[in-house]
Amino acid sequence: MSPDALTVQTRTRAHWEAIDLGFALVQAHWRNLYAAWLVVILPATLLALTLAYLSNRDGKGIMYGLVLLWWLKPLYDRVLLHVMSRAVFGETVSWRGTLRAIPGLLLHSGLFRALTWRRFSPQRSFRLPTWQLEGVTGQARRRRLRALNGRGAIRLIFVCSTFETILSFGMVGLLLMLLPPESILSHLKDAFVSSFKVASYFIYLFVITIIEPFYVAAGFMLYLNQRTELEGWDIELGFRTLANRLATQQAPS
Amino acid sequence: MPLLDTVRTIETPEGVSIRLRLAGPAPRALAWLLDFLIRNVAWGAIATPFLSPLGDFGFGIYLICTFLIEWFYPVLFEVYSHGATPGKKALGLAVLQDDGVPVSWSASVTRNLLRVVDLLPLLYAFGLCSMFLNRDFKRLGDIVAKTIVVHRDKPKLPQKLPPGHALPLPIWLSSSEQQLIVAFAARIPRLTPDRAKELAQILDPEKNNAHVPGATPAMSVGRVQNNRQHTNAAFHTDVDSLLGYARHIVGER
Repeated sequence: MSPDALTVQTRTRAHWEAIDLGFALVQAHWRNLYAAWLVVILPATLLALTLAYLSNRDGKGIMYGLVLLWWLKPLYDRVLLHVMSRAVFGETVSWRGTLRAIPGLLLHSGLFRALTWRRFSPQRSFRLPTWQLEGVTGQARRRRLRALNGRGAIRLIFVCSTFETILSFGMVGLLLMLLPPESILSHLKDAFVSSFKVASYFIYLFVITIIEPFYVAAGFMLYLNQRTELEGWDIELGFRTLANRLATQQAPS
Repeated sequence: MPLLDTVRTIETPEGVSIRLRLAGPAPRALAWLLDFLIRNVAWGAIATPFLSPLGDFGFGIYLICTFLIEWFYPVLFEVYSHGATPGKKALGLAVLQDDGVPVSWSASVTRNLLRVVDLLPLLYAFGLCSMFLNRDFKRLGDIVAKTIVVHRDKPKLPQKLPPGHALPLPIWLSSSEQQLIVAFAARIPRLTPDRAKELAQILDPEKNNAHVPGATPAMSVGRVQNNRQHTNAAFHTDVDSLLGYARHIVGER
């Protein structure tokens, strides 16, 4: 990676500001990100619903589907980061490009570990760029991960899981608001039986569709911020400008 | 294309431009949570010792107090405490009007009354969605009241330089260029020695001739001669000399 080609402003930021920059990144590139999101979420949700259907003997099938949808998040994260890591260098990835990249992401980004014992890592999105983009393995990767300080990542997962909760309740609240008032009570009673479970699956699908890109982008920006700090990218760009000024001997305007 | 950043530059009528660093949903949600906890403590503190002995009358007073605290806590703090409620202050945030001036009574009242819309349907879900969609991270109240929330604190950087001798600058540098040298010097302890050397070498005119964008060959010749004169002025670009210049810039002798 070279800081010259970045399309995000290189400066050292506090953790919160890096997180905010990640949110701005999603706003700036949402079309490409959601095209890629559809590429991965449609098969995943088909898989989850199939599992739900097949395991639905005791009426708990949809819960298995919901858990699978949640469990596969590291897979979606990789696809999103693939698009983002190119977007920050000014490249756009079409949905076909995303489709072509998926086999490589499945095999070479530590996905197996991410789906097993690293699934509960609170630094998931912050560490993902090291796994997926740096191309280092074994001892070297462990050293790289140690060098990165994940304090911002803990805040990020706290905030994003809170946002997931807020939006989940918000969706339920919105549904209740839109129902005719006399039926609210009966719907609430209904809420804890079968029909609500199917709705809960689609509510969660909607919620992660909103939150997951922000989570991955903010983790990626925390990572870029750390590298800027540790490797002096902002100094590098400043020194280049200064060197050019000295070489041409012009006073700055 | 301008580089992606969360900074908005505002031109004042006096021709001064100020940079505002927008705050996104993540720190703002945490600030809200802190304020919410503080308000809860305030309610509890009023209710238990003073009002509970008064029975129904006390309960009436209590309801009036909670109403006043809920609606005027943010307004009073935003107007009288530099745009920051205690929660915002803890996160280093402040409310300003769109044009960068301190928030007025009417703007603060408007943005806080509009919380009744932002908090719909549950847990401020509308406000959160609005911040996700708006490029300036505004919730609905901010859009109506024409206010923004910004990061006020500067990211903390250790400006203490390692002790040693100071070197006077042999060439003229602008104040921002001098700041850059100091920033580099302050960062040296956290950079690897190789990286520090690499960064310092960017300033070395002998090694850096290729870096001038758009230089014609004819210009390059003139530049090399300039560099000769420049070398006579003995602007050293090794790490230790730059550190010495930095000490001189910050006033060590």
